[in-house]
Amino acid sequence: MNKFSCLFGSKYSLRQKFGQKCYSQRYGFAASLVEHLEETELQAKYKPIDRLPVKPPFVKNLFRGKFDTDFLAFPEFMPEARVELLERNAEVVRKLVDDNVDPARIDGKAAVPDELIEKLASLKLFGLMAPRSVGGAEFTHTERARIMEIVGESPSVGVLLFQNETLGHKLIAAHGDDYQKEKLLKSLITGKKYATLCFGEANCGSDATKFETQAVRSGTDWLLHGTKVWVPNADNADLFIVVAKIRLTHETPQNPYYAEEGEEPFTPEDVGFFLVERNAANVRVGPRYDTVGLRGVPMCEVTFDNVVVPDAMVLTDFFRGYDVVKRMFAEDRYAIGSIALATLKRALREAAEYSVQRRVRDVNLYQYEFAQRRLGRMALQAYAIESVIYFTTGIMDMYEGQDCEVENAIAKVFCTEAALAAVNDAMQLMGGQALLEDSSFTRYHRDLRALTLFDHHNDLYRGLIALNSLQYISAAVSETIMAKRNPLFYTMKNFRSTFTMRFMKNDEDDPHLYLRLKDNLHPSLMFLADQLEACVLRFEHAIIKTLSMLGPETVHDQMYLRRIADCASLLYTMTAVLSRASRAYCIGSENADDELVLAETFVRDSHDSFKELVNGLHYGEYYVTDHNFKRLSHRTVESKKYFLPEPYKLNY
Amino acid sequence: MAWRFIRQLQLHACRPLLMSGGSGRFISTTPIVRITESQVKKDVAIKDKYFDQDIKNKETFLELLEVFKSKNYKTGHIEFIYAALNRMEDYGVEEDLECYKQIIDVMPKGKMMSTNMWLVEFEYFPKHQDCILDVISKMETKRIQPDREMFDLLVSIFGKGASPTKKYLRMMYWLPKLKHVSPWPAPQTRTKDQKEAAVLAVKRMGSVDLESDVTVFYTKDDNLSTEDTWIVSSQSPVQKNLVKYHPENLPMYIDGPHRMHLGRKNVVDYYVLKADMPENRRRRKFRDPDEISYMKIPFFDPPTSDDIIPEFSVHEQRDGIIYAISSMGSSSKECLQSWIRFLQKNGNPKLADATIVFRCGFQEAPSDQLKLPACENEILDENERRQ
Repeated sequence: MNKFSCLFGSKYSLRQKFGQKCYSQRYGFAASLVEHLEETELQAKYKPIDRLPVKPPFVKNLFRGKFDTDFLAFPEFMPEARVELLERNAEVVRKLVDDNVDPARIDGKAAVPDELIEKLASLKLFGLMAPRSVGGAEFTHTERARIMEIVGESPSVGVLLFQNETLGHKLIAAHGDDYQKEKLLKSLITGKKYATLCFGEANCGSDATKFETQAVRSGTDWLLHGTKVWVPNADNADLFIVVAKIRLTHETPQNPYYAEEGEEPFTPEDVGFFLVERNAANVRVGPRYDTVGLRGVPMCEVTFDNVVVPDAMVLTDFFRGYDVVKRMFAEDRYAIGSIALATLKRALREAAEYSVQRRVRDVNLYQYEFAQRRLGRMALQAYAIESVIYFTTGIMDMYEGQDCEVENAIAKVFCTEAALAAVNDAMQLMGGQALLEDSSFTRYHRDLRALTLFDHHNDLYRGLIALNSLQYISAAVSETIMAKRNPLFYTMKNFRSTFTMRFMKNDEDDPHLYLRLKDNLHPSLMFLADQLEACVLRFEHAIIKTLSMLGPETVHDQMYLRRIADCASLLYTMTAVLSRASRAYCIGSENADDELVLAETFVRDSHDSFKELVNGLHYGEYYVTDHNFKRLSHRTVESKKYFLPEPYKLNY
Repeated sequence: MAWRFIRQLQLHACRPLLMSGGSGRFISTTPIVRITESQVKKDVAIKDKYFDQDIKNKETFLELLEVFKSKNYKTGHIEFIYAALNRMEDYGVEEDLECYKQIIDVMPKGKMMSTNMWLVEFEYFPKHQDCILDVISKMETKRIQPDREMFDLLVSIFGKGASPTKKYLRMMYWLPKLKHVSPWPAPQTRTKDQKEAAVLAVKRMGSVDLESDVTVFYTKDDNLSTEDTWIVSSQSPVQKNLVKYHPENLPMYIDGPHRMHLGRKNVVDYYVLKADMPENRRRRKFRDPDEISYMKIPFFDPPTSDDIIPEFSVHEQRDGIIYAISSMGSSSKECLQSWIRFLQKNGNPKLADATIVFRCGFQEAPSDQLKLPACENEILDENERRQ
């Protein structure tokens, strides 16, 4: 298979296998934001996007040391006409943003002006991926990412669009019935109304299993009761999608400690999605939180005090609620990465301009190597972020119903944190200038900091990356782990698997490179491919070591989960960067030689940090200082303060 | 001088800790134990008359030492020091560091200094060394921490390598360390108020649960009580939750008074609100600790019944569930009843309906007046029974 052109007619017309319903774009002509364009002429050039059949998930398989080399070809699936149109659409949106969006003003006033929202709605930005039949733009993920990257110049606007779509009408489109879709979708997609998701709670955060908000069955209706916190855009929302525990009866809850005689074990309660109109009785929206970042998105507390919800306004069917919640965590999170990228690109522009203009001791700032390093690092981060976003969207668009939850979670974590680090660099470069109250850099910093926390904490996504992948491989490796944990019962098996060349070389940090990743990339990237391959192989080895050390308890050991998640993120980002650079060099795109430099820098840097992390997994307690951290944290909590005497004090 | 002090500390302090032959009660840092008292007994008796003064206080004691020093005697230092050491209790200065330093200062400077390793090895002026060792040992028994000035004093008398200096250095290494061994340092003296001791004791017992909330109630706030005393009570949210789900058909008990010693000088009586462990406590299913074939992941997977069953907390012990602990100024039944009412008001409404059995002996006298010898007698009785 030719790695550098991925446009193939699919022989199979596989329907979506995974329940993840998204708007089908199988034969949809790319919708035009530019209605007045000579549509017929363009449409004539269009070919339908032919999707390839679904592949096994990429990152999850890395945990077993399986690397699908098809992913080393950067996804390229859009017909030329569609690329051309995307560029034109991007220009239109860019013009709109340049003319109307003033991020500083939105931040200062802590609100997105209404006329801007009307203009966004007129360009169908509220329903970027919704079908045209209901007024959406019917974009692919890649196209959406591009548009979000432009709109994200003001992160508040970007987040508004993101949450209205992914956490709003997309949920209804995926899980609602015909009545709900007909009644609600159109107005949400065209931006006439807002939907918002009420998820987190004060006492349990994002843990849906511990929610205190309840929907109690009464007759044919449901009575919704509870308080949700940090509801985005709650001030303006017309429709609340509330996640609540389903209680079928009025019976008193079971005693969790003591069982009655002959009592069955627990039947845990499921969660459901309830649609509540804003003007329904007994819905109270509290005052908005005065946040530091993302000020344009008002976050509020919403209280439901026995709100009556009719049966027709319940989204999911029962006993699937947790599945929906789990999938929802990582859906389309690349879009948050796009918003971060927009801010970073803007910061990079300003920092570059500044370092040319500013003269320090008769030399321009950019001539100092301190400054060069910072500027270079910013460019590097921007490149990596961009690669990860478009690599992820490309996979999602190219393969029909591809499982990308882990990839999306990685995109969210990596993009927000890398952008934050880069803006930090920029602020150091600017010096005191960046600290001024009206400096745009403080705003970038605040917004990016908020993005790392928006829509669940990044650490939660780290958990998701590690846990979902471990769960995916658990069945396949269970036999190996059982043998490793019981060496005396499986003597020969252990003996044979330990004294092999492959095992021993891997143990010595010199794995035998049998995946041959370098055969799938441009030869000038050969050595980097080898580094990536060594990382992949060591990762698999380390995962087996960790699992055999901790057993089923791995899922509770968050020190290791963090390390696993960070390793997986590095592998994925390295793959994205390498495949992009390789493709760019092969097709000879603009400044492709710079891409090779960027790829080299990124892979070599990542390789070093990867080694540190993977050693922690490989050698476990002998290498890491986790137990010290646990102890120190315990001592701090115990004394509830800094617990050591000042060093000058005498002890007699 | 400071650097030399620390260097000496590092040189000598790492020697192994020697246990004294006698009682195993104290850790001794004495390297060699020698009894020299009998040899000097007679002479000590002569010197003893120095200390037959009418006014016995610190000033007189220090003046006596000063007088002896000013005479510049050639001999008799050892006897005088033993006499002073024996009479310290009479003058009430047995816990005064200043006096010990002055006693050591009686020894002449320079003449007995071990200046090379041979002198150190063969114990230059051994009787003098032993005498000062006894002084330092007495300090150790009384738990008096020497200070840095003493080092200069000992060096000027015996030199750096001599036994008294070594002993001093070992003490300086170990005693400060032992000072912080317990995370719950007990007060060395009797507290001014029994309540103060009770708060310390209850806090210490409650510390098994980081969330424990130690509250002081006053019975005058309780309308049904005629007493005026205090109740120190400890209960954590986990315990409140346990009370909430306590099976109605089972009784609760108040056990006590149990006794807790805080250091050498303080005794606290406390009561425990507890219940027997019900047999129908739900338990999580046993999981093979090596089987990972289907890994259930926390947070993202739907909960199973196992996730809802609370794990056994530290308050659920084999001999029962502990719901609360308290110590109070009066050991009367009325006071215990007030305690239950206070608990009821503070997040345990269930206690209103619970059956509570008092499994305790009431004492007429408030625990303030408990005398220490009483408990020592008990220990003695036990020893006798064993024999």
